[in-house]
Amino acid sequence: MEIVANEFATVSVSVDDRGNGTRLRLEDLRTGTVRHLDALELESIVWAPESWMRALLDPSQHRWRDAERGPDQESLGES
Amino acid sequence: MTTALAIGLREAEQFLYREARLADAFALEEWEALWTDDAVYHVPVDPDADPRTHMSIVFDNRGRIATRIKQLQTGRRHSQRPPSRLCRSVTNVEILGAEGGDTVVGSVVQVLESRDRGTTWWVGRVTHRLRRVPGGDGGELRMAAKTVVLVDSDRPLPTMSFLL
Amino acid sequence: MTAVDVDHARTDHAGTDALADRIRSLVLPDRVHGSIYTDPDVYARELERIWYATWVYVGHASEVPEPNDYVRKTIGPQQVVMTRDKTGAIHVLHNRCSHRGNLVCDAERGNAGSFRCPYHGWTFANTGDLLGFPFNQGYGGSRARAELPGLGVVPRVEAYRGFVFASLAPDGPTLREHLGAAAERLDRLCRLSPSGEVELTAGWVKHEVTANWKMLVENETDGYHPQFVHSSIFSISGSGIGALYSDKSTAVTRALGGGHTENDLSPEFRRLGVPMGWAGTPEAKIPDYVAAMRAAYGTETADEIMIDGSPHVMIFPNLFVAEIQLFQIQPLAVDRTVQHVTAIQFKGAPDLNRRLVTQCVGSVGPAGMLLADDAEMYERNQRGVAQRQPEWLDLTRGVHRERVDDDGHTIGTATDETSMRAMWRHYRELMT
Repeated sequence: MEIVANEFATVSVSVDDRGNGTRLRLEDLRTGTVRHLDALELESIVWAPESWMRALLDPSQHRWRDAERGPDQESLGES
Repeated sequence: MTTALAIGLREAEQFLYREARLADAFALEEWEALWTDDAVYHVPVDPDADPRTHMSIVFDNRGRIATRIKQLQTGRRHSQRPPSRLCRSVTNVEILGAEGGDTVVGSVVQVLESRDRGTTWWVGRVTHRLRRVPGGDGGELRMAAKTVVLVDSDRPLPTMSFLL
Repeated sequence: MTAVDVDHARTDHAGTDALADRIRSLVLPDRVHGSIYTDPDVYARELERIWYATWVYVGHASEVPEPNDYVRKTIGPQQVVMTRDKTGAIHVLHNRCSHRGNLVCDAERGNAGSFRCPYHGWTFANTGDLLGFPFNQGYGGSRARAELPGLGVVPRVEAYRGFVFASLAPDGPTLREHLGAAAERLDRLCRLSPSGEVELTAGWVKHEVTANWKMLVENETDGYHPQFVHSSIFSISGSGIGALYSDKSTAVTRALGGGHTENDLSPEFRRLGVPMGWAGTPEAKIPDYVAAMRAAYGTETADEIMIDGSPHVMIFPNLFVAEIQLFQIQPLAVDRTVQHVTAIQFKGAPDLNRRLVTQCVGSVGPAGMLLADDAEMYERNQRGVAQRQPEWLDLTRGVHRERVDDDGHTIGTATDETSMRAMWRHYRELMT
């Protein structure tokens, strides 16, 4: 497990091999929220356009859009 | 304790050829006598999996090797009645290294099996652990382990009840 | 999109009514005709009426333990992928791209939230939904994905105690109705786990035989053959299995309804009264398991469970639980069948599980000391029934001494053909 941190966020990063294949496990250590990313999702992120990443960083797109709902229920670009 | 003579390529080859000939001929007692008391005979499905927790095609300790031989000797092992007609070649023999006091030998085996159901071609990579034990002139070779990784080990395989 | 009724189309061409009449004349209460194992038209109808219509065992939930895990599985000759989506729900998808029909999944197992076809890059969620495709302007933009089809989704998927079954028919009896009394046999299996759960984590051996799949189904609960087919191993290993299938045995063969059958050995295990006798493992060798069972169920109940043992049940058409191992039967052609087999593992019982793997490996698969000889019999039988005379296979053993038990099930003695007669009755209903 590695920690990726700066003054704004602290995320632990590890490779999770408990299932039938390896996944990247990301945990927002400030809230305990976990997201797994598989290889095709990671490749897609690598190739995602900058505009998509900028949209992702808009707080109202996910975490602070609705306090009741976590990122799983949100869908970027369709709000 | 004296250091056993190293096992050379030529000697290893001679052992493997002999083992192959005995298995083809169903010389059961002679074949069984080639094993050490701590022997393991393994034909894995997945060579990377732990055979204690995962399925194998064969995973015999010495006791089970004896049972397998005895079953053939009853004459009522139906899948070997009549016995398969076998001819195998052993090739690509290499000394791969040492493990404990044993010599690790790699080879390739190809077995043609003819039965009433048809002809099957079995091909795999074999690893023997050979050990020199007292006896004869300068000791005799025994196998402490034999692992056969069939090319198609994880695919559906027909019955294989001869000694691979 | 209009669905083509393949079964109906075939009906018009092949004259299914004539085939139904023929099958009625080939499957009788006391005998079946040899051609029922060899006729390709009969096999084609079995696929439509049994394998692609009724509930078929696909896999176990423990094979996809984590979100986005998947394993390749089969429904007869059909290649499917069993997935667990990120919400935990299990899906069974046809392994076929909705664009050009390519296989979308190669690996036997893995973890992926989506599948990307290697041919043109069409990408599907593990629920089957189409997520997108390259250069989408060719389809007028990304909105087209709402109109284009996703992966074929097997319409009904249900699990019982972790055993996942699927039906290609959108409507029909529920899984619970289909299992009927066989469900209790799966309960009996799970009770042997200190956690109440079975896991299939030991991987699979795949044994292919040149025989019709029904030869295997019949043999699984045929208590008449073990003394002959397996005498070689019984005579040298001191195994008590042979005696369970003799005229002196108190074990019974039972028709559970729905084509499901069992050899109920528990009366013998109770008579012998040896905990873990069914597993051939003395209690002293698995102290952790015994302690965990007593902690979970209380000593008295745990000892009863460990004496009664595991079921020996054939759940029609393709799931066979034989005490310590589980078989999945897969027809590939009228005369080709694969038997997939794994050691049953009880969650929370590592000491017992290791012994079960070792025992199972010794018994089953292409080199197994039991199954290699069963397979030889299937194959000899398949060649035998192709011979012209006397045409019929006899099913009358034990007809005169069949009884009905307290639960209303038909039972025969340990070596009677009660199970075969029941299987064929059910088969005839499905096929005609």
